[in-house]
Amino acid sequence: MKSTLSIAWKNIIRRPLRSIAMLILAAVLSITMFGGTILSLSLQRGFASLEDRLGADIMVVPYEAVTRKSFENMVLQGNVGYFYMNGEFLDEISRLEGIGQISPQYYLASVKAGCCSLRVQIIGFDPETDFSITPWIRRSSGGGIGYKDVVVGNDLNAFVGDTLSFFGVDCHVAAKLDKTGTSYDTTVFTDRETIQTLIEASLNKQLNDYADINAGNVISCILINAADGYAVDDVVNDINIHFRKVRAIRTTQMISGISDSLTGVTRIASVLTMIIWCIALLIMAVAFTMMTGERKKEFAVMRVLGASRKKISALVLSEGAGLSLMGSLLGVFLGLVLTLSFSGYIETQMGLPFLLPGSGRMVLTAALSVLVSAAAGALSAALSAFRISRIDTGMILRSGE
Amino acid sequence: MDIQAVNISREFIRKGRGTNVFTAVKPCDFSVPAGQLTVVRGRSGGGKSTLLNMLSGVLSPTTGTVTAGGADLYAMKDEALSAFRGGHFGYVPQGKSAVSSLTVRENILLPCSLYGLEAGDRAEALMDTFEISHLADILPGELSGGELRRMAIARALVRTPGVLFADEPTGDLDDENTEIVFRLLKEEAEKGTAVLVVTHESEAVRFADRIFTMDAGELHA
Repeated sequence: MKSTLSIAWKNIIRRPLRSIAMLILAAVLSITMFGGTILSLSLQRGFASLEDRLGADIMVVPYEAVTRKSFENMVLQGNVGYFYMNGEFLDEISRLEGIGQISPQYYLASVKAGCCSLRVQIIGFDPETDFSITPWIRRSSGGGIGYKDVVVGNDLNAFVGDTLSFFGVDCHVAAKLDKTGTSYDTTVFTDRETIQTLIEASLNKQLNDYADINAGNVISCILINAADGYAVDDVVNDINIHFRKVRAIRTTQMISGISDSLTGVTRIASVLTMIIWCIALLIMAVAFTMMTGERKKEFAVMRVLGASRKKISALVLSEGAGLSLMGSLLGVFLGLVLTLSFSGYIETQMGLPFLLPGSGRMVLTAALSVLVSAAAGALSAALSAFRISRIDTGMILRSGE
Repeated sequence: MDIQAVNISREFIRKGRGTNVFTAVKPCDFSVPAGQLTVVRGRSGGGKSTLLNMLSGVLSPTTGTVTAGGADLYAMKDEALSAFRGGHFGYVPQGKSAVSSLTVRENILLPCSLYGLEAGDRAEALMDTFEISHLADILPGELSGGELRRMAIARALVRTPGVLFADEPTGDLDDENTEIVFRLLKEEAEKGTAVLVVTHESEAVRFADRIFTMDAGELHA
């Protein structure tokens, strides 16, 4: 076996052009498999992360925020935006039947901040009633936040201890959040008091589109979890029947569009992966057949020098498996480099929640991609190995092929 | 070691011509005795190479048996026959027969390396004998026809075979190289090896101990 491997290795390294072509084909197999799997996993993980971050059954926003799609674009597409409704809606809705947890959120968009060249979304929450953001902030930062403290999303260029200025108000960065793969990665979070100060400052500087609001009496969104024993749809209908200027939206309904897009993208990725695999495998099988075909005389010579059919098969198979394995490793390495380098770009271009799997899952996917691609490459070589082992040595030597 | 063939023949079916069977070698008895250079001459397509391939265990005959040192070649399974061929036979194929990705030394050592055997000294000695030591580390693509043929003979002899088969060993060589090759084959026969050469070269007659001719599949002494 050692001698067969040694001859196979010499054949690989001393026919560089042929070997490079086969390596590229094998790399296409593994990079496609690795890239497709990572894309699919990242989308699923991003979607799960978005569901987790939304963390409420129902969201109530001003009616105009729904008709203009500004709310949906803000949450799902990562667009920067803000809108307000009277804070009294919070008390009125909280008195309805079927309301379990309820908490307000406040939105504002910065003009420019030291951390960012573009506007960033600022979300304020009430630490006393919040059930959506606080648990997540605690998990990431290990504590709560005080007045003029902010917590920054993972993609923002700001770090704990930095000072960020919004509308002339200096805020202290108390924590940086873990990556979520959603628009929250470019969001700044703060408490109710701080955001009311910031809204006031934006009004004073005439940098807020809603010039006639009272910063202390407006909210942007109400998050609600239905009480036990109450159907979410019933609570949504109840709110929409009783309040004309706001709109209650079921969270799952809002993200169903994303879910559909995700299913579509995953399906397209799977089909493309399959097509590329079929083409690459076919080309590999043809290339192996051509390669062994043009070396028929060499194999016939080896047969007369004492090589059995089994040895000839092992030689062709070793070459095929070796090239496939090396190509697969190369493909996965390139896939890793490309994925890690361009994940941000892919995320932006896709417009969908995108969160790369953890390192353990990445390594496992890489190993599986190498294994499956190398096995597929070896299998396409196996056909040639079988055919070449059945050659009629006498005929080939006689015809001088 | 000597080769004995009894009543061997070989038929082929020509593709695309219905059931048109043609007989490449008509039934014959034949032997290749040790210590002699046996030459089979004849025109191209006469059946010489088919006869040589049947005798060397490469092509199973349609009828008859071939024994080498008493062992029935075609009664063996492929693995055993291949090992037997590698261990007892040397074979100089027709035309260019080098493995292009192996150097001259590696080509010569190929019958050994296929079985994990070491024969570095033997290969060096053969390269000295055939005056190709200076080419040891280069690839066959850079060799002339004569050098390739000497390499093929060295490779056939590296495991010190009992029988040496040579199929048109001087096919595309000039007179000088043809002379060298036949002299080398004669020397091997004188050392006790059974040597069978099939050729259309008239020069072979000068070196042969036994001469046969083959015409349209029929063997004549």
